[in-house]
Amino acid sequence: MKIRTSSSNINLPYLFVLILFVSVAGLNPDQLLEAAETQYKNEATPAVSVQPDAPAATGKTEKTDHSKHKMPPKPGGVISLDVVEKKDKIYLLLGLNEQGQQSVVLKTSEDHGRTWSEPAAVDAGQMLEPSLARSNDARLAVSGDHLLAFWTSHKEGASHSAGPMVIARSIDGGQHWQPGSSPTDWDEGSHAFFSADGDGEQLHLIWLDSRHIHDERDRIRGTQGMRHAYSTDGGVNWSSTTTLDEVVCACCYTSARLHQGILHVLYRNKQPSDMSFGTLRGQDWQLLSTVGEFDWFFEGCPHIGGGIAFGQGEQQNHIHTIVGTGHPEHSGIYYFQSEDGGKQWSEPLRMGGDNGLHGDIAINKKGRLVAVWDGFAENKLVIFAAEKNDDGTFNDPVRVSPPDVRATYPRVVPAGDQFLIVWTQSTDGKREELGMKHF
Amino acid sequence: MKNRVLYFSLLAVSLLMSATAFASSQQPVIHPFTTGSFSQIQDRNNGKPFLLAFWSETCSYCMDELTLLGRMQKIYPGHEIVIVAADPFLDESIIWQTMMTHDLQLTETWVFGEYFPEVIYRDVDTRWRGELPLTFFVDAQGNKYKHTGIVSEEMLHAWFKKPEL
Repeated sequence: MKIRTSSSNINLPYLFVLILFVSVAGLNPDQLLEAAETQYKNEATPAVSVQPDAPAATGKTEKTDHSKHKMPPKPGGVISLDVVEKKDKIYLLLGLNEQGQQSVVLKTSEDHGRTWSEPAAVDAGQMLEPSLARSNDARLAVSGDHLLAFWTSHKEGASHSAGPMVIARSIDGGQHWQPGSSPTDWDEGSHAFFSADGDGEQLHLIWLDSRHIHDERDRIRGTQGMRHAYSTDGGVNWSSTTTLDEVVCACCYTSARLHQGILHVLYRNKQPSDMSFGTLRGQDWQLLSTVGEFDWFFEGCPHIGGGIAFGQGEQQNHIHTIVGTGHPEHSGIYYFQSEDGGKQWSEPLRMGGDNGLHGDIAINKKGRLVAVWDGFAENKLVIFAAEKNDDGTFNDPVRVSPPDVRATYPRVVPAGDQFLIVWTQSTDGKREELGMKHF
Repeated sequence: MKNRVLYFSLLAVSLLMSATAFASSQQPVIHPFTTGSFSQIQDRNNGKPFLLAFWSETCSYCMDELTLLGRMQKIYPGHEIVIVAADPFLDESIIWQTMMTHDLQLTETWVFGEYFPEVIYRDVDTRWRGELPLTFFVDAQGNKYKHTGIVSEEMLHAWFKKPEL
């Protein structure tokens, strides 16, 4: 490789002469800097700025214009998304970024997602700025009229700029919010990748943190511990924190769902980086199985997780999951079913091709099961959905996102006889918006 | 007296600016990495083997790999190492800081120049879904060997010790 120096350097001899000159001339510091900058501008050659609209580099003669190269702000619009359906009401928790200010709002729908309430400010009264991103989204738990929302705060200078969790609580079904009490007994580092659920009697929160890492050398690379706390009074008081698994994927989202009073947890393990499944009955945590034994030994950051749904009626003991893997020979999104509470799982059934990334799954009251995922098509990410047939197969995937957008991180919930699929989408990457379709 | 204060103040400013300018001269040029950039880098190397590593500021494994590469550069000077930040439009100050932290002495480096990174994933390798770190070993014949996940020190020694390098 040829060695090349940056064009933005200030000519040193010139600078010294300039300094000596102004010391005699008696220029003030502002004039001095202005003079130096003028010299810099005059000598700088035409530059290629590493900016969104910059042409592709040829790698031959372009030079970076350091004065212009700044990272653009996070995309505007919807940068975090969670959706929950309870008792025919749909709750949509959105993280927004407008002019660099992040906020969290809630919208609700009582007609299966056809009309929505005005947004309620979930982060009202919070002291810490949010740090929101897809995959580490703000998460919502609905437990009767008690709603709790959790997200990672922004901490300047911290790793990934991530700080302790923020908790918001509503006691009127999501109309008004105030800061809630923290479930965690450790706030010396960041908390992230939340999943939460409630059933009116109990409310559970799962999150990842690195509290037991006192020395980086003790850490298994790319791991954090998975913690749990629960509340029986709608989030006023919390149990002590317990560790469900000390070594899990540090950057993968988890799924936790209550069913028949038992908390079911789906998360990405480490060594191998396959998905694990466990249950929490009371305080009794049991790691039951691996969902998709791909033996994916990956020393890296996958950023993918899975989703859980439960059977209805006579099949209420059936557990259905969607998991993603990046195993080089098995990559994609897979469906699994368990009929024994999560100890054993069906053979893997790949959804679509080998390029699925993030998936979710839901079952409605009539027992219809729909899986959704994002995958590559026409050189961009699009959202697919497929419904399970009675014979255990799935219909051909249907593309549900519009043709002219890049769409990712889909979620799905029951919506009456149908399903509501939501995702984030963008035409230019500068602004993300909410995508939504009934299926 | 007033003139002496002015003189020393200006001298201090001069030294500070000189130091800043000197530091700036050591910082690598940053190019946008877009579709076709990998091929362009390969063409430009014109048969010379090279190692190309993708990293992200949110990937702890990537940081470990950059540390390894910084060490290898000292042991095997002159061998071609190309580093690409896979965070779209990552701020140049973060890129420079990362390279300095990992003691990587490069005259140029690259950063994703597309808002939708998957466009680049597909261009680099149709099976790449964004997993990091991702490292390519490109030999003199232009054959590309892909490694997903952190590379081992042994793997790097084996590469840099190849006779053709």
